[in-house]
Parts: sequence; C-alpha cells; structure tokens
Amino acid sequence: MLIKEIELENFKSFKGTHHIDFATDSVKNVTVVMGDNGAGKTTLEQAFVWCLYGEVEGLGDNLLNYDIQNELIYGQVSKVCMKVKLLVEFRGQNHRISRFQDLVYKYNKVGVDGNYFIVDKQDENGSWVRLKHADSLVFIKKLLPQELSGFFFFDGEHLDRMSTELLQKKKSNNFKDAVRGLVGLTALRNTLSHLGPATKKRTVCGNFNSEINSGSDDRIRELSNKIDTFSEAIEKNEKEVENLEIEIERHEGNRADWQQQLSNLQDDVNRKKQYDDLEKKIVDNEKRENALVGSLFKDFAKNFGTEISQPFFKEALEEIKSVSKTEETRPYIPVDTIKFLLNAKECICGCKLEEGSEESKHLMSLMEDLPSDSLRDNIVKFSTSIRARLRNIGEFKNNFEQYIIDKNNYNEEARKASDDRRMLEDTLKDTSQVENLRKKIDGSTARIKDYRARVKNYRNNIARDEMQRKSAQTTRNSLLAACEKNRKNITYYNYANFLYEMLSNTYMKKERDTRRDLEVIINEIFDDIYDGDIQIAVDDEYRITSTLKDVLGGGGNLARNTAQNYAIIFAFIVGIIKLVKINRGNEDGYPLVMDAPLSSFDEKRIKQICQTIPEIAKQIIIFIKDTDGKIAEQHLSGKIGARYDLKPISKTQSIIEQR
Amino acid sequence: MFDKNMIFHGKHADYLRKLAPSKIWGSKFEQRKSIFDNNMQVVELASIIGFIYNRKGEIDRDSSIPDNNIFLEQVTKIKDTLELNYRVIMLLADKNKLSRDERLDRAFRYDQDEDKRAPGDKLFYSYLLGGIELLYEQLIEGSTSMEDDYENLCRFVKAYYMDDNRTTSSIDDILKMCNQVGI
Repeated sequence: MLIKEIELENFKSFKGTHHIDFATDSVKNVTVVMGDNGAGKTTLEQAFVWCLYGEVEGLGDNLLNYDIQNELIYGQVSKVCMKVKLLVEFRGQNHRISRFQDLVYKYNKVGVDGNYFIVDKQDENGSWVRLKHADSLVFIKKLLPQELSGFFFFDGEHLDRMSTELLQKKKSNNFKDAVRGLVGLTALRNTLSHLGPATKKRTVCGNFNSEINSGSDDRIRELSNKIDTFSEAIEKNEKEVENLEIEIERHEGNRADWQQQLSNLQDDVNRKKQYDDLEKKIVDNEKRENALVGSLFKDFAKNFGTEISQPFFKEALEEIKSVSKTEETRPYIPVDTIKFLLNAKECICGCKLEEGSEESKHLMSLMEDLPSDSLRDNIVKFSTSIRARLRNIGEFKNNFEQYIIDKNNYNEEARKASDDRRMLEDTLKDTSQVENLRKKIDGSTARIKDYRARVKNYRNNIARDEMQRKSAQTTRNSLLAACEKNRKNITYYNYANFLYEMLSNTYMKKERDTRRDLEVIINEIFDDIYDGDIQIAVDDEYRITSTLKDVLGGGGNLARNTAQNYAIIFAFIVGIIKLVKINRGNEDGYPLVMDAPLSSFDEKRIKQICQTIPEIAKQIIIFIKDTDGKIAEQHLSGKIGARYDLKPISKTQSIIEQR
Repeated sequence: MFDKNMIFHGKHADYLRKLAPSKIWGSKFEQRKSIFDNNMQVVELASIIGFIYNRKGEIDRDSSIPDNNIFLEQVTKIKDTLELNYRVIMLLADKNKLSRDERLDRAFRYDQDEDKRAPGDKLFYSYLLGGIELLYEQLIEGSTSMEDDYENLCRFVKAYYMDDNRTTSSIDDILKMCNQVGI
C-alpha cells in the first residue's frame, strides 16, 4: 500500500482545497511535513483516519472549518462540503477513497445534510470504476483494518493507548485479531472455528455430533442430554475462568505499578519505620522505668524496716543476753497453776492450804508478783522472729543502688530516642501516600488471592465435568457403535473432528512460529533504534514484556521509561510491517504516518530511528515540529522525496506549502 | 497484744490514706499508685521508723477527718512484725529511766496483761504515729506523681545511709547472737 495524494477541503483548519503529493519512490520514500505547534500537523494525521474510517477518536462530529461554519451561520452560504480524498496504490492498482459531508445551518446549529463514502478503482485502461458501498467497506478492511490503524497513523495519544494495550497488560481482542489478520492467520483461524470444536453446536463437528443423537434410543438421548449439560457447564466455567484471569492480570499489573511507586518512596518508608521504632523504644523504656520504680517501692515497703532495724536488733539481743541467765534461776510458773492449788487447798508437796492460812497468803503474794507471760518463751519467739526477718531481707542497699542505675539508664535511652525522634520529625514527609499505596496493594493482593481461589474452584469443576462427560461419551459411543443408524454420522463426525484437530495443531504451530518470528524481528529492530541491553518478549496475547539481558533469572519485568516504551512500540510496528512483507512477498507493504513521533527521543535515538524505519516501511510520512524536524531531515536526507511546510495564517486557518 | 482493730484518727488517718492511696477513699475514683500498697505496710514500717528517727506523735482528735480503721483481720497479718518492733522499742527505749529488768518485763512479760502493758503500749503508739508523720512528710507531702514519689524515696533512703551516726551490724553477728539467746 502506498499513499500517493491527499486532498482536503474545509477540513478543520484547512479552509478551501489543499493538496499534498507524497513521496512514493522506493528509495526516497519519506515525506516530511513540518509545522509549529498549532499549525495543523495532527489535523492532517486525523484527516487520513477520518477519510478511511469516518471517525477520529476523541474528535467529535464537528470537523468543519471554523470560518466556513460562520459563513453558514451568517447565511453567506446555504450549504458547504467538507471533504478528504486519498489516492492510494494497493496491490498495484490505484484506488481513490473519498469521504465527504454536506453541511447546512438549520435549527440554530450546523448539521450534516449528507454523508458520502466512495471508493473508485482504476482498471488496466486507466478508467475509474466505482465500487459498491459494501465492497468499499471490504476494501478498506483489506487495505488496513481500523483496529490496526493506530499503529500506522499515530500521534502522541495513540502512543499512550498502544502503550496501554501492548505493554500494560490490558487485553484487546480486536487488536489481537487484527495482528493475526496482518500476519496471515485469520483464514486458518476462521476455518478452525467453522469446523469445531464438537462441543459447540454451530460448528461442523458440533452439527454432526448432534446429528448422532437423532433417532437413537432413550438411553442414548439421555446420555446426549447429560453430555450437553456437562458441555454447557464446562463452557460456562471456562468463561468464568477467562474473565477472572483477565481481572487477575489487571490487578497484578496495578499492583506492580503501586509496588514500583512504593519502592520509589522507600526512603520515606524507612524514615517512618525508624520514627515508629523510636517511638516504640520511648514507650518501652517508660514502661520498663515504671516497672522498675514499682519494684523499688515494693522492696522499700517490705524490707526497709528490717534493713534499718538491724543495729537495734543487735542492741536488743545484747540486753536479753545478760538477762536471760537470771531467768534460768527463776523458772516461769503460770498464775493459773497457783490459782489451781489455792482452789484445791493443797500444795503439790501435800501441805494443806487452808483459806487465810500463812501458806495460802504466801502463795497469793507470790502470785501477784508473777509475770503474765513466760520470758523464756517470748525471748525464743523474739529471736526466731529476728532470724526470719534477716533471712528474707537480701541485699537491700545494693539492690536499691542498682535500681537507681537501671532507671537512669532507661531514662537516658528514652531521652536519646526522643532527641532522635525530634530530628526525624523535620525530615518526615506526609506518609499518607505510602499508606494509601499499601492499602491498594493489600486490596489487590486480597482480590488476586480470592480470584485465584475461584479459578481453582472453577477448574476443579471443569475437570470433574470433563471426566463425567468423557465417561458419558464413552458409554454413548459404545451404544452408538452398535446402532446402524448412527454409523454414518459417526464416520462423518470422526472425519470432521480429525480435520479439526489436525488444523488446530497446524494453527497453533503456525501462530507460535509467527509470534517467535515477530519476537526475533522486534528485538533486532529495537537493538537498532535503541540500546541492545533489553530483551523483548511477545506473549500469547501479543502483549509485550521486556527484561534486562544478561541478568540471571531474566531480571523480572522491567520498569520502562517513556522513551523505552515508545521505542518498543516503534519496534513492534515496524516488526509487524516486516513480518507482513516476509509473509506476503514484496507485493505489499504499509506506510507509516506519524505525528510528532520523535519528541520523546534524544538526538542519538532519533538518528537510529531515522536510519532504520525507512528501510522497512514502504513509505514514511512524518508530521514534525521544526526542532525535531531539522534533526530528522539531517539524518533522513537521502530518503526524503517530498517536503512541505504547514503555516498558520490565522487562528482558524492554515495553509500547506511545498518546499 | 495486737488483737484488736487499730483505729487512726485525724491527720494520721489522712496521712495513712495518702501514703497508701491505692485504696478508694472519699472518691469514686482509684487513686494513683504510690509507694505503699496498703495501710498495713505503712504501719509495719512506721512503728519502727518513729523509734529509729526518734519521732513521737500524739493522737489527733480532729473529728472533721474520718477515722481510718485497720480491722483485726488485717492486723493479724502484721502481728509478728508489730510484736517484734514492740519488743525492740520496749527493750531499748527509756534506758536511762528504767532498769533492764523493768524493760525486759515490759518487752516480754505483759503480753496477756493489758493493764501492765498500758505504759508500753502508749510509748509504742506514740512512735507509730510519729513514724506515720515522718513517712508522710518525707515521702508524700507535696508529691503529685509517681516520679515525685520516686525522687522523695531516693532522697530519704540516701539520707539514711549518709548519716554518719548510723551504726552498722553484720547479719551474721546478729544471727549468732540469736543462737546465743535462743536458749
């Protein structure tokens, strides 16, 4: 495919008719369109997309030039036409693609009065033949599917979106199918989905399979119903698994991003941890100090009395020591003993103690002098009590001093920690961001865990249903084999199923090979346009992962900067183009229409890109601002076939001039 | 001896409450933790502190302050300590007024005889009240926190050890003497 010309009429900032002839030479295949910011570079790129597909993402419906709109509104004209025409060469034949709108002013607004889309094909004689509307749409699909247009007509916004689709694990089935189409896998894939699998009723295999049931006896019908039920359950569960896996991937992607952000905030996290540790240390030391003081109080209340009594115990014992000997000469006689003898009126010696007698009076006077308690018993008790006290006291003074030392140590540690904490307070930033990220990560982790558990559950159910279905199928097959009516259908079914499996294997191998080829090509191109230290891989879903080369274990998924991301996308696009070239021979190729593609790169990378891309793409059309443009022109000098300038002549109008 | 409730009146009742404030008194709220867990610990120590620091107190009859009653059940728990302190005080107090025999009788012979014990009891209780006053003044008065209590306690204990007039005795010597008088 080559884009030969574009013609614009009243499209956005291009009032009146404007025309560009693009470079189509096989060597000088680059067209540079240079313009300042606001000159209409992006508008030009959008004009291509609008002409081919009738819509431009995020642009709305109102594409008419602002001045022309005013002319309509003020009645200077009653109807205007807005038009974009492309002349393209596709498979050696010229095609003219025209899209235009008639616009009028009614009901107080500018509205579309007619929408037209026309494709004309030039035959061998040079005559133009108009295609039917449906054929026109098919032609566009063949020319360049809309899903892939973003790769061939791209601007900064497209790069962001592609970055999302390719690099950030967001699935796009359209995109995947389009890539398959480009690399020539669609036909085989469609054949496969027409043929099977047998579990889907609308496929050939499925149809034969269901035919097998008809005319069978009740047992077979019953088994067939069971098989259908299992198949439906399996299909349903597989769908659930697929959805959950998409969710798991999404959460894993988000979690990886958040973890990266968290890791960037690690210094703050460490400081906060240090702060928390200090705070804990202060609290712990306070607790220890309080516990120590509590112990000191207890020790004082319990032992201080004994501690200070010791000299007095000694002095008291000295007093007793000298006296206790006297006690030995005066043994203790309880008063009650004397009272008993007086009451009995007889002494223990047998002498009668008559009331009022001399003996009785003597005993009574003796009784008054007797002490109430035994000195001997109480002294024994006293010394025993002292002994018990001293045994339990321990080293009160030493303990007391140790308490004070320990308390001072704790106090000093707490003071130091408090000083350190105060110093950290000044450097501590708001940690709510960290907390938020942690919460998000925890939330995602919990979801992933939950989804994985559910996937496991669904898979168990699938395995169980598959086993039961297989068992039912075996039983039914043996019943069917015996049934003459079904023999024919079984044969057909077996043929179709064999074909399906054979093609399925071929398809899988081909797709695997294609992905591998794509991967090799992308890496080659990436090495050319960027640095060779990154390894790019293409997964089953045609998504990209990149790892550092020469790192044991692959180095993990690499956190890429914007320039690397864009370089990978460049490599991917150019890789696709190259693969298509290889698959289809040189008859076809794709142009690249790029709006400000180099603004993210430094001069070294711009040079590498300028040297690589024109060799692979059939045609390059670059809209570029003057600074990058001069560098690009310098490196593309041998390749440039056409140069244009975009010049704004007012806020609502630009013109195109050939240089 | 020590077989009845011990009742403290006036300021001594109050001092006791402040020395052992973990008890709820006059308020619905628990008081802050201080040096002594309960009244009994204060009484045990105060009885000997008053004698050692030679501080006597007199019963304060200020009826505006509620009495502080230590019930017999609690008194029984500290009876051994109180008896020991009682006998030490009786043996060593009034050495210049009373003969050794008289002090011995007062210390050991009148446990069962309240009348004969009355002068000794009066002396003991005056030292006990003096001890409560001293502990209150040294440890608690003006203190508002555990940290204040700690500072006061340290100052009090350190002052005791720094007093050059204090005589020291080895525990072994005392135990040896216990054996000699143990009869």
